[in-house]
Amino acid sequence: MAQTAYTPRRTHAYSVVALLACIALLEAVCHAGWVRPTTLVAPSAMLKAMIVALREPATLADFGLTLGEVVTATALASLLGILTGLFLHATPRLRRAFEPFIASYYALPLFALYPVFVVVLGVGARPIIATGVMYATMSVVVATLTGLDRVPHVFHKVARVHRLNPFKAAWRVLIPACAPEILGGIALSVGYAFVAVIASEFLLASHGVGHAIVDAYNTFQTERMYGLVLALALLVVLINGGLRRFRGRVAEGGP
Amino acid sequence: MTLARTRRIADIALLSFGLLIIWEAVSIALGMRVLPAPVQTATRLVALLAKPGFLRDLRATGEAYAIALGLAMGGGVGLGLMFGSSRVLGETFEPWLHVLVAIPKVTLYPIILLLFGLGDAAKIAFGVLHGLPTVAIMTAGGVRSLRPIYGKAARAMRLKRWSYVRRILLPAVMPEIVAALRICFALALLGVLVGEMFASTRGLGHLLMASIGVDDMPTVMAVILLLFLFAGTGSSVLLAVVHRLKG
Amino acid sequence: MPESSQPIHAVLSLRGISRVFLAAAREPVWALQGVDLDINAGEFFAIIGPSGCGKSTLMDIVAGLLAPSEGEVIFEGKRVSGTVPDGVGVVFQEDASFPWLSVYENVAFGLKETGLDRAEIDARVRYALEFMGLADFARHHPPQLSGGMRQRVCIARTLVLRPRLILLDEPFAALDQQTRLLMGEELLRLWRETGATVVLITHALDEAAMLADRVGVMSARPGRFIEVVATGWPRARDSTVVADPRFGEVTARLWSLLRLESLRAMGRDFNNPTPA
Repeated sequence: MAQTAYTPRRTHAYSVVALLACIALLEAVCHAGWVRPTTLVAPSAMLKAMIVALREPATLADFGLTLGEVVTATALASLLGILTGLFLHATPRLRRAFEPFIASYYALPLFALYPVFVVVLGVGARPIIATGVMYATMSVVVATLTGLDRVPHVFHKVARVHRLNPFKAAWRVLIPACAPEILGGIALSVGYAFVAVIASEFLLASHGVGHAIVDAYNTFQTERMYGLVLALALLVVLINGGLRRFRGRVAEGGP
Repeated sequence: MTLARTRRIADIALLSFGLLIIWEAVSIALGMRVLPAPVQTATRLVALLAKPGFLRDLRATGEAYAIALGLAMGGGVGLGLMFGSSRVLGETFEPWLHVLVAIPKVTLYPIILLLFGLGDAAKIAFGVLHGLPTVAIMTAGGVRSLRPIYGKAARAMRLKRWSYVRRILLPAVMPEIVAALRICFALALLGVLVGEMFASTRGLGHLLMASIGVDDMPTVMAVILLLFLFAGTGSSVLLAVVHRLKG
Repeated sequence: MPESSQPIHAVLSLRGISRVFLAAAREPVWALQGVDLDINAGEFFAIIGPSGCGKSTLMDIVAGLLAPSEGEVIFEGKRVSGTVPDGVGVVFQEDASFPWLSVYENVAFGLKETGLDRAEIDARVRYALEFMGLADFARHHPPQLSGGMRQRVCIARTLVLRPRLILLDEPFAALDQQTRLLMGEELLRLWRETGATVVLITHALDEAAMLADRVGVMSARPGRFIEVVATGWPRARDSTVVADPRFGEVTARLWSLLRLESLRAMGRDFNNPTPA
């Protein structure tokens, strides 16, 4: 079996071609009337609906709100995650006891706690942000722990030679030393925060992109719904792509 | 059992106890009506397990979950084997899977509902949507990391395709499949649950939302406790299996 | 803290230092046993010994980074315990320069804690950079520099705090021979300029013989001092001391002591391998 050379561009082309073929197929199926317009809408109509929706100030406000919640959740999760990571790293026995919980954390349906947050924090942005924090924090904790593990042992010694107390040592030596790992963990946590925020907005349905989508669904505005979903999907792909490149750059290190 | 291992288990037990105490403290601080305490929750759970209504919901979720898990694993492993073995298929379609994993699948829920309607089919579809792409990607990765000697040996022995898959490929990729199972186990559960919370008339997820609606916090906490125990135990068991397989 | 007795000139005294390492399901390892030593103020003291004899462990204990299992360390009349005493500087074998800071910021690192004003900090850092030949690289970052230069950054970072005792654990181990010799000369300059007491750990006995006033020879594990050899060099020396006929005598003496211990260390490794 001869192996032909697959250049990256060639394989990229295969993927794109296949995608375009699928889109064309969908377009044809919809125009032929084989599918009810209340169920599936032609890709061209999706695109049009997306552009129309994005022109409305209300939609942009929704997107802004959702992004705001994601950013807030990520920021809180980062702070909480770094502090927890530092604490657990300094207490190895406690850390080892926590390990089964950490390993199983993302297996737990944390989302089930969302109603509890609503009851405790009230309705509005707070339970949404809280759910986001719940999901996003652990990836920062894990990244911080891994990063701290990798800090060369000699750095700890230097901190002691300079007689730094534990807080100063963490702030001036340990955290800067594992900044690339921590930033990688934060980039990952953005994705988690996004999922939690959107899902919460679906359920709460009073503001944000999730609400807009549910609203369109409930009022049978199928085209608008698909348009919004497309806009959200593109936004997320863009953000994830950007973050992945950022993580790649950060991992290379250097000033 | 070595001293170190006993100590570890004791530490974990101690930690669990500590977490329970923190839960109790938070309950007291916020008020039992807002956040029921551990004992109250456990009592309610035991009571629920005796009620036929609850057992119906449990069964509904359980069935949907089992089907979703089966489909996600079966479909995922199948696609993974295909994509891992064939360069063309893999490089064409795997990027799609990666995009699917990256997108918050909640985004696609309304579409699923439109396509499958309200009801069990949609729930199962959610679960499959969450689990399948990851399983496929992990399985494909496992196939690709196989040493080429396996394929060559199979061809030398003139094995038929299906024999090759069954007797060489699958066993060799088993560690990756079990690792994928561990993740799919959690994701499929999440998908089914959120599907029930979002748009369903039965199941644990629906019960959760309904209980919130009537301010029945003890039931809410009981269901959450049950789910956490199930997910936590399953995940830990599978983690141990993965470790054992990886040697 | 009670004043412990020390000989008049001794600034650093080790009394009966022992250190054991316990590992689960293995024999305890005695890295050091019964180490006694007095080091005089302003002296340049070198420590040599076979691999695995506990030199680095000893230095960690002297610096206060590690507690001895038995015995005590007395620095300037006070017992060393738990924390690194004021006035002690350490240069480690591994590269300890911080990659996220520039050379200037690395050197200034310790001064930020001292509460000196910015002008004073700047003056001291610039002096140290000049002294170590790093002035042109102040804005560079360590990953951009060679191994030897990174060690110079670490030395400058120590020097800038004006320590009274400087401990160096095989600081030039990763460098080539020529660079080592030149770095040795710089170390001598540093020693004369600061008037500090210097303790240098090295596995290169020619380096020890060339640089030090006295050389302590350690035994194979468990480590203790077998003999201390005085070189008798004048204070104003440099690497040309290798031409002095006494250099050959000193080196020969050191090797005759070290050879036996090295064979012992290796013999043990061959016959009874103990995992590190």
